[in-house]
Amino acid sequence: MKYVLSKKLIYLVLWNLCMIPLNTQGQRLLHKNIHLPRTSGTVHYFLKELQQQYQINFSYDEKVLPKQSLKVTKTHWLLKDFLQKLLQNTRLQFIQISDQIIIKKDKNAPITLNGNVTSKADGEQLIGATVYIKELNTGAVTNAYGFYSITVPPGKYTFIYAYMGYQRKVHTMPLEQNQVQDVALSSLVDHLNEVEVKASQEENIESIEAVQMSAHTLETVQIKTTPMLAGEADVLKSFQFLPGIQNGSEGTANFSVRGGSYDQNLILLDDAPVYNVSHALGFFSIFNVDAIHNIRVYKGGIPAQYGGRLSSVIDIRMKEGNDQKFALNGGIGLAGSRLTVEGPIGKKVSYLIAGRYSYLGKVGNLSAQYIKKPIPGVKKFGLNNAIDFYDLNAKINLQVNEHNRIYLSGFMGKDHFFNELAFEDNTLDWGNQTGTFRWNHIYNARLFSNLTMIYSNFDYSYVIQNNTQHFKWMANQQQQALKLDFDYFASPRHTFNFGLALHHHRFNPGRLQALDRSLPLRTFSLDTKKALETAAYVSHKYQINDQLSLNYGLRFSTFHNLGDGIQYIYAQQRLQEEKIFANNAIMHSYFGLAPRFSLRYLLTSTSAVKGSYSRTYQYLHQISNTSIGLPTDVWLPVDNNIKPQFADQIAIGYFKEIKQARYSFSAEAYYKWIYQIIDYKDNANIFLNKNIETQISNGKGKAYGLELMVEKKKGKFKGWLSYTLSKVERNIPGANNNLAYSPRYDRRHNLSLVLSHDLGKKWQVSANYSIISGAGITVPQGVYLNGGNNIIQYYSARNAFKLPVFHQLDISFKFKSHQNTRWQDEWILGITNVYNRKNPVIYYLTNYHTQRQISHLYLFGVMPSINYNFKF
Amino acid sequence: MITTKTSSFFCKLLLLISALWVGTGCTEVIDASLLADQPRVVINGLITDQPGPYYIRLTYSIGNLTLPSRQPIRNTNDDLSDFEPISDALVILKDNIGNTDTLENWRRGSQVVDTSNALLWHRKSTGFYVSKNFPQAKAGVSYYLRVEHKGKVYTAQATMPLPCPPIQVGFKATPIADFPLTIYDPVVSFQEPQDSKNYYRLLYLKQSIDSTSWLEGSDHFWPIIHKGFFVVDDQLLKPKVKDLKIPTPPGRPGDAPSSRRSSRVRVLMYAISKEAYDFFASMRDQQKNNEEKIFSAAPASPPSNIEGGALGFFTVAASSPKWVMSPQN
Repeated sequence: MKYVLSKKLIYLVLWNLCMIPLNTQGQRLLHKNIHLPRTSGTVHYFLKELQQQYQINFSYDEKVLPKQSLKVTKTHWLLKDFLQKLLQNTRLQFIQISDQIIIKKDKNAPITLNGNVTSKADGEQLIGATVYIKELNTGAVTNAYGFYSITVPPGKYTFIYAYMGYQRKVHTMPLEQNQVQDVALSSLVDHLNEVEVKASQEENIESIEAVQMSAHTLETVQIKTTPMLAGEADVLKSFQFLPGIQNGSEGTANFSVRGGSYDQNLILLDDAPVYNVSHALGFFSIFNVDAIHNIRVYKGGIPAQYGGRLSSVIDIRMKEGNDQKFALNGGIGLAGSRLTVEGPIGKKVSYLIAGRYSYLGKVGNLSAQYIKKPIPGVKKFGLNNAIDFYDLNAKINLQVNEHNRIYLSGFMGKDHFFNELAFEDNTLDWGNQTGTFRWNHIYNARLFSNLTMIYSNFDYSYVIQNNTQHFKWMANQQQQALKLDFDYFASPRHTFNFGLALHHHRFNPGRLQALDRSLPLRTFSLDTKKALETAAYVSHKYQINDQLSLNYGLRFSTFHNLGDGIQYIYAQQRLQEEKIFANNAIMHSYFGLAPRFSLRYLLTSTSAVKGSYSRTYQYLHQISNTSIGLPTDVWLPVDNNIKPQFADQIAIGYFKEIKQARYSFSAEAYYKWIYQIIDYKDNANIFLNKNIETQISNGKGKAYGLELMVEKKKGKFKGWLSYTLSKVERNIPGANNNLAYSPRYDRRHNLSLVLSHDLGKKWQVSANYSIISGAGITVPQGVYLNGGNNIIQYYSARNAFKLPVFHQLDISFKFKSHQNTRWQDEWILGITNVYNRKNPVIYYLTNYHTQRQISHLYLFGVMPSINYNFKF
Repeated sequence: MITTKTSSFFCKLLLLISALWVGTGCTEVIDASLLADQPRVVINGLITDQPGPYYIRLTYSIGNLTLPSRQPIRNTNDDLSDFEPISDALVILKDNIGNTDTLENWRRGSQVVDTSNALLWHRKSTGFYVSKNFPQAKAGVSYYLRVEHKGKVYTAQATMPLPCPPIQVGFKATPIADFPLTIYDPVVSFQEPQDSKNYYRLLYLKQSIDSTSWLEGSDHFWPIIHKGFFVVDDQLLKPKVKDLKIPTPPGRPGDAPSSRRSSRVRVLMYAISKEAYDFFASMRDQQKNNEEKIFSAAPASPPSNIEGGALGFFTVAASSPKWVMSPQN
């Protein structure tokens, strides 16, 4: 201590002594003009060069100089400016004493610690992991690539690395210079008993700290334990147990978030938008859980980096592929089978290939063959069904060097439907393809960038053949995009995100090809449409003090309809003019400025209140007037007739962690105003319609609600209970006789329970239970005569009739065998709808001409399933 | 018209999927009073550019879907008696060139119509009203309907479109497998004007060869109660339409001419408005989708052009009628 003091004293005296001559001589030396012979080299090189060329006397310890080469932009400098530039980000400083310039360590300069947080078992990057500094009560969160950066004054600190479902890691180390610290965390699944004790002793540092509200992260482990139809783990259906997420028809993949339409959800797979998420018409979703690493759902307070949809973002990240060892896993079930292989190639590359194939049609054929006697109705479905789908996920990533990493990922899925007897000769095929190339670049310890190139395609075709018609109908849509995103970790209190995006859309809404030349049909195409969408955003996360943090940002977007094409101009619903545009000419443009704001105030170390406001714009919409949505529902861009939808949402919430974060409680209230919301008019004919804009209309909507959730996140017994109280209403000219109405998924109360319990090391039991107010449907309310025996139904107001309350219990039992060997497997026995509740999805009139009756249709009775999964 | 709604394809798929797991999903009959509503007035009428008289029909709807109508619906040709007719209304037809006519209630014994199903007409009021002094309608003229009933007024308005292209009629032979019978479906050829947007309704009526009477006004009477809703949007038609088949109305295979004996067939093509097309297409879609709804278009009442809360449609259409004889073996 004495030594330190005396040394400081000497410096002080020397400094004061030097200040006098500096006024004259010193000023001259530092303002000397210098010319560099070259613009790149090490710090040592430049100092030597200056020493030789200008006889400047430098004094320094060569060991403290950084070794890496630097590049400057020009050759002519003032010496002072050049030294500042040279020593920037080096934690060195210069001082002049007499005619000497001393280069020495700046002991108070902030230090940056950066690195990646990964999973120890397979090297997967952990997104949203917390890096917490105990002494400073502050921290950082890893970005979408597991990267973190934190800049603090020098000192000795305790770093806690934490991620839900993983064992925390604590590092105590002195920070004296910029440092890279990569950390691999172990999964709790492998260290269950050990971790229980440790976790309870640590501070709560996770969800309460985050500024973000109205968001959920779902782990694939969690999704896999949730009992589902046919035992097929399903990403999108697991969401439906979360508060604020509603479904119009149970058992399907479409969902509404906080009163938004199904098409207002931006579903991203490795940044590529997915336009149709359904296999088998919605009974399964296209996401293979074995290929998925992380799912993040944003219901409100949507970060500025996302745009293009009004109500939610579902950001799904594929696994990178195990970079530690070769691994193989798969499963066999009633609906389909799947297989995933992944592993490293050398030390810098890892890959993943995951495939899934469903043989629903074949199972159906067998069902029809063997159970037609006890259940005669099955017979009519025939023995030649071909209702199959497959999907394939592939990804490869390369760690080029410590500053660069590239990823290439792709998805391809196809569905095919054919049923000879029930559907005559009609077939339907559809599929998605996406591709993403990403380049992560670390400019320096604080600046991270990601360049993304995206391709997404959705297409469908079907063939209809009967006595009067025989044709094939084909349609597709494509999107290519380029995005550049930056994360700048200025300090623990300031993080900036900014970026640019450019999307090109192409829509082929349909082309009809007559397959029988003898019929008086001509080949017919709907107009191809092209559009360009651009966006720029910036956001700033600012921790004002230990209690208050803000995150505010702005997203500016533009949308341009591009030629060639015809612009239809209407007056009073009648076509007045058709304007023709040349290729790539701008036909119509829209602009949107979307502010985003959220704040968090810590009440105590375990409780916080949060608030948010966000505006969102949507330039694409899906036209559907079927009850649950079909692959044939087309997406179209806004144009001069259909204006973009936009929404304002405010939300406020209270968040509480209980018993060392074993339990959490949250309450959120929201109100959403939706402007220029789109719906189809009464009796709309949207199929094969060249002037589809005449069939849809813009109006106003609003949605509001309260969401409560209690979650147990740790331990052998896990799960959550959620309750949503909500209301949705719309008023759209031309729809529902111009009166206000609610969409099908407007369901006042929604209570969901999701539980899983480990019974020893081998057994696990899981259960879901939901009780939800009935969906709103349009029902026949009377009949009238219109020609002969034509009994024509007339209907209630749109969705005015509420179905009975939905409730259902699903359970599953998992038995794990051979856990200590390389080959591990498990059997899952599931029962969907345990007590055989008949939840109607629709009412309709039968037996028109004899004894008319009202019937309801329910999708599933009690349904057992058995699945076998293995891992190697 | 191309069958645009593919719902039967999709809705059956639903049942298929349901059956995959031992057919657990199902349908069940429920209490119909859940959906009951009050009966409403239904108005249907047809004015064409052919000589009158013209007909308007008024009936009540049935509010409770499963209650039998006053006379239970039977799957017979008893076309005019299923729903309670309205016979005490004031029905007025007007145009915008000064013509007005108060229609008379048409009852049993009227000598307007006859077919082989002669027994049908020996009943009381069927809710039909017939014009007495209304001139032949003309292209470009607007027509107004006013109905007063029990203190309520219902009105409708429509304009006569341009003349319908003339048609040639032939027959397409379809032998019935393993049966000594051939069905002759009427097929229509015509020149489709490509410079204007057109919609058509086509239907045919078979008249037994031994029935001699086809009296004045039948072209306006029968289409009101005809159950065929074959409508075509010209979007998909070639300029020269050749042999466009008119389907037999669903559930009425006996209506099709066959080789059993030659029939006198009245083929009618109407040029209709977009609104009328939407109305008939909506009913056509209901016929097709009437039992499985989940994958079909979200339902709505057929769009009416009648103000005042009545159901039905007041059609003003240009017509191209043709008499033809079907072949005989």
